[in-house]
Amino acid sequence: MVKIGENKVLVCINEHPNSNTLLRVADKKAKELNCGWIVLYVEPLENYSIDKDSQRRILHFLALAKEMGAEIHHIKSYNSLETIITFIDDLKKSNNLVEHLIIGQNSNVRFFSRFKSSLSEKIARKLRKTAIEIHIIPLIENSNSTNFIDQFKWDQIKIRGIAFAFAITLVAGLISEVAQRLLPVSWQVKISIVIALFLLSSIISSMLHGLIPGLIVSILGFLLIDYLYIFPIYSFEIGSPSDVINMVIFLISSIVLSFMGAFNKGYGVDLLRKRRRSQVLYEIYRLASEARDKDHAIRILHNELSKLLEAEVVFFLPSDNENNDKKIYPPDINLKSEDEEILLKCWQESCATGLGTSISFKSEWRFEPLATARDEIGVIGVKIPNSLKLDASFGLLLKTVAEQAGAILERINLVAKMNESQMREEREKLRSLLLSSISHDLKTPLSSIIGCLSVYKRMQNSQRLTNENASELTETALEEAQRLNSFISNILEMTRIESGDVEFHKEWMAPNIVIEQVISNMRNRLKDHELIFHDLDKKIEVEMDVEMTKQVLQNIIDNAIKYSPKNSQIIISCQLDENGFLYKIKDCGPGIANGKFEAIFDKYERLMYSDSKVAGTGLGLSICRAIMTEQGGFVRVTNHKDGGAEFVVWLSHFREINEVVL
Amino acid sequence: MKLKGCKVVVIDDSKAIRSFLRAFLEDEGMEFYEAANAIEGFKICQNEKIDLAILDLGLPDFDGLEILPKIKQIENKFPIIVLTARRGKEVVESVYAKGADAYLSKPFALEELLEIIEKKLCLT
Repeated sequence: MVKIGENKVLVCINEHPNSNTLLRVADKKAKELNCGWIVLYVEPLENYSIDKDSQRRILHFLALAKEMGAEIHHIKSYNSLETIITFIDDLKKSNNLVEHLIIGQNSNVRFFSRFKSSLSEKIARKLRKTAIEIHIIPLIENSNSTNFIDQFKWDQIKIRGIAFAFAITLVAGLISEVAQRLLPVSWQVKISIVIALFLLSSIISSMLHGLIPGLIVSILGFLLIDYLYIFPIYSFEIGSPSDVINMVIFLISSIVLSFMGAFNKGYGVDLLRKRRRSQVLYEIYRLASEARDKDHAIRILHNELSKLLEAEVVFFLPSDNENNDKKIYPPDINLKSEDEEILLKCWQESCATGLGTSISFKSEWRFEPLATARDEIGVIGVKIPNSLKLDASFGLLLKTVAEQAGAILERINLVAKMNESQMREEREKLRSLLLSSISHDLKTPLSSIIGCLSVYKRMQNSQRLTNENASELTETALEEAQRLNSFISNILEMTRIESGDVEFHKEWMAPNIVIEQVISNMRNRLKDHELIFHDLDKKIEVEMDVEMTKQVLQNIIDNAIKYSPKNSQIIISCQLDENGFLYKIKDCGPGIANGKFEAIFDKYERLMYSDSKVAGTGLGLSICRAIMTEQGGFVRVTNHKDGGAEFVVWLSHFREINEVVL
Repeated sequence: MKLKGCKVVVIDDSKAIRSFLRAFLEDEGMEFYEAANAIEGFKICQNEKIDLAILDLGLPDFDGLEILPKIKQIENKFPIIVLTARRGKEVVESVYAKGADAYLSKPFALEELLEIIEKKLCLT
């Protein structure tokens, strides 16, 4: 007996071989809610009796349910729907509220049953306004559904189809008439040929334009044959009973052929749609696979899937920083609290929820987990518009979409992780290289300083130190100490820029003022070279971090001084190209060795070969690159045709200024 | 003085190192030759009847480890001291494997270098 005063889970089973799925779902639900569950089997007393296998199955299911701890109710009835509703009402009267109703739906629907609602749909409709949550469990996946039924929708009927129907009827009528009138009597066209002609027209119509045009041809054909060929001719009356039978047979055949043609067309359209969907899906996934990162991929998937499904699509992903916040794309979406609940359920239980699933059937949203064999990445939500037919093939499409999207996002995640670990490895390698290089670059000038001072002291002690020796040794020691200092400053600067410690303050500034200040600061170092400066012929301002850009120019000019012979020219110019502003710094040194145009900026490269370079100089250009990258520009080098290197420092934002003349 | 008149070549790309070694070794009475790269150093070794070579490893044209066996093959046999900032067991092993007579890491004490020079020149 039913215990009194408790919420219940009610499951309605039938003889379907997969009804045990329903029992499992009900059992799970009851355990989840910690309440009892009831199995109701309504045995139909309609004009068919169930076969022995089905009977055996039902008995087995009922026994199974009993074993699982359910209460069993077996009612015989002519009206399953009414019986179930009454049963629920009776429970309510005895103070037992049905909280969840689980019912199966045979998705393998037969041809004519498409035209009527299934029991589950009827129950869902009846109980729509109650507090009962209805779970409809599909019992067989039907992947061969056709969109035959779509052809009855008004929006599917096209004027072209109707026009075609009239036209083909007219053509068939004309052919018959012309044949009747023009052909010799011995060739006399029989009525059966005319009928066959109209049947042919009707099947062509339905195959090309669907059911309605086919049916129109059938009816028009019927009327035309009656009017033109059935005695009394030129009237819609039918004279003899045999003609009545003939005409009825014609009409039925024509209608049946129309249905067959339409079904065929529906199947074809369905295949075509499937093929188109797979093509579109393939294209979407190809695009998304090429995405730069996860956000980009989601944007592509969102845009393309919204177009494909003609519905609102939303992605929910756990945030990268591992708290419980969800990242939502598009971010402006608003979900009702009950939709949020089923979304959470989809995420937690990794199963499809919402419209058309066993969990919260009534929602207008359908959520599918973006899950792969490895991991659950997030949830994709589709707001299904009323106009969309939610058949099994659509469900399958959503599932495929979710699986594929999951796979793509997982791949991007993996690649990102791999890159990250590669980067970490690279960083480690660089760090150890940096350490050994720093120790090397520190030691070389340091050993010179120690050496110079030791020799100085030794010679002084033995009183053999000449003035010449003393001055050479102290000068060398001083130079080396300065080199050491510049090396340490460079290392520290580099570390600060790369670790993001340096804040960039961009401002609009006249580029000629910047370079003039740099030249002025360096005038001592430039005294052995001839400096030529070409300014632009118009006034502009460039967006840059002034101090950082000065540092870049200083390092490059310093480099030019070091590598070009005394009294040679260093030519600096300001120029514009189609996209931005550039400083060019040309020197008359040996130029850059082939294949080293990138390497000279590369800290890594520099560190690899630091042993053979002059200590304390190589990182200057790496710093230039770090600074320029940081402020959205670049620095490059080429060899100009007269020999020597030509550095380009490029910045993207510039504006012309009109000077006000007073 | 044992070292007086001995010809020494310092092959090092650091001008500072060459500079103070010149002051130091000339003060010790040695005849001083210097080279800033491997090829130049090799030529001096070949042409000047050198008694001792002091070789850096990180040279701009060839690595010291590459030029070392070639210097070693010069008919007039003389000791080679490798003077480098490179450190580690592997470096020391490869230096000796290529035929160096001594290894000294930078920075170094003058006395240490002097001791090795004397030892190596006496042995030959």
